[in-house]
Amino acid sequence: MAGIIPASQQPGILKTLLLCLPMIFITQMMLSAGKPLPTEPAGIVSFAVTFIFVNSIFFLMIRTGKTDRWRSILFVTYSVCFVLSFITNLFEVRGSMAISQANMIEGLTPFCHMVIPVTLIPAALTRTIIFPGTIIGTWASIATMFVLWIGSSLALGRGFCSWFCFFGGMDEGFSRLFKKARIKKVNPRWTYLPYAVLLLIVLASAVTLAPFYCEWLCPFKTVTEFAEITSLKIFIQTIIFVSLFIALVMVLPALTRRRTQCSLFCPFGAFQSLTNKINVFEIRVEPDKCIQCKKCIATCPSFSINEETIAKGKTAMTCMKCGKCVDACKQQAIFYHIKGAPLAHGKPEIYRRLFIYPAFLFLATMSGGYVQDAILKIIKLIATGSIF
Amino acid sequence: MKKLKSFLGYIWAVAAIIIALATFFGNDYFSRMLAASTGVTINPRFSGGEIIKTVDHGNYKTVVHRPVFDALIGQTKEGFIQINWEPAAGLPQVISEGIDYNGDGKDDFVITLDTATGKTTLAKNNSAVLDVGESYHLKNGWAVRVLLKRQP
Repeated sequence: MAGIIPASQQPGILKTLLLCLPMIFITQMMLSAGKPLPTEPAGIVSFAVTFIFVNSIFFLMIRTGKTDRWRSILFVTYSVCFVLSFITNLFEVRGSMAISQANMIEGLTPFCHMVIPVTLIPAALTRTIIFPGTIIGTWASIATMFVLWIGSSLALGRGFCSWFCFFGGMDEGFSRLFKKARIKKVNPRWTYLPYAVLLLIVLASAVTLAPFYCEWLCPFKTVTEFAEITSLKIFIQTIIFVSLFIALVMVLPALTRRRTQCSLFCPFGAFQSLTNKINVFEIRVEPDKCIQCKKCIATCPSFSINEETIAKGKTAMTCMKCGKCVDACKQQAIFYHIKGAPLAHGKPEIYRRLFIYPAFLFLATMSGGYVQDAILKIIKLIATGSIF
Repeated sequence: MKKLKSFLGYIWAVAAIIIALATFFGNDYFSRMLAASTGVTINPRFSGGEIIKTVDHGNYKTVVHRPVFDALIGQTKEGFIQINWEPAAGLPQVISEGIDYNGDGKDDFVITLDTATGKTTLAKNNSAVLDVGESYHLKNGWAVRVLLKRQP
């Protein structure tokens, strides 16, 4: 079996369980959100299934030494459940996925991390946030999302994109639809596009004092919420975001087997590449061990590894720390690393575990609520014929 | 030096676990702290701006926000003023109200709102008043934005 731990050195069941104990304890607290455990049958089932599923994923990560193979299962499930939970909640509360101007004036728009980069300049100059949400006190309030972003950036850097983002699992899911890539070569210059989009939306939002990305470009409005079509302008915006979703999140990932929205368009990902500088975890390559099989280059979903970066012993700044290249390298030449720690004769499995504890905490906690809610709604649908 | 770097690296890596836990367990506290320390508010283009006057009509009240001309730097030439009427339960079928937003003792415009349909009409008494914008059916009443020109 390929991967960072040879089969002979994999931890035994008991040691794996011991290593999983902290996660079992923490996920129990996180999934119950500090409240007593549910007592009604549907609640018990959704809690138990989520708890077992999440902890099984972590157990397998520790036991097999594979990261991406298991992370991906939870990450894609998280995205699917997020969409299911979010949309059904909108129908329950608002009766539709469309958000009206009145809803916006009342500050009823949930704030998502994608808006953060465009809010910073106006916040610094006007001390206001250019978003029709609420600062604090509601679900998905602006302050809550900022705290989550600051914490996850400090702990994971651009690992945010593979361990936190509730949208990332969508194009990751589509990128795994086919076994072989239909489009094998993508010009590496396209990887600069997210930085251009970032610059455009930051400037445009500052000038117009409106979240330009949300209004014009965000593909994920297709599966969350969107402005009610009341004018030609909103109609054009709708055509743009639906087209971007189909192209970047569905078609291109399926054809290239890469996360094209995340690596070729997402301005928040570009922004996270910059905040990644303050993070301690990185992926390193030992060029001496490398046999030039180029499996890592072929599998990297974010175009972050190539001959040039391999020669330098690292990945590009766009690396999302998903661990796919680490899993793919049979020579164990690619590994998680802690900045400052020794490279040669280091302890790659210790580095990996130190990374996946905080990373998995974010993934498990963020996904847990949505997975539970989605299971609960599916049970309700089966039992009563209605999700509400 | 190498050992110190390595030690600091491990410390930071362990701190990442603590940061992850603190991010979730302390989210409420940190969110409140962040909001209080930065003092940021929602941009008035979305919220309507601060309230400058409330008129009590018994069954309902009229809430007048400040005129909004906010730009990134300085002010825009054109803006709006938002008027809210609430609560929904106490609103009459038709509201007709004179608004003096610049405090000169004279009504700058008279706005009429049909609370059944959201249809509005505007009578201007001030050259700075441009037009009536959209009317919004809120959870707890109605809001209307009247477009204004900035006066020197």
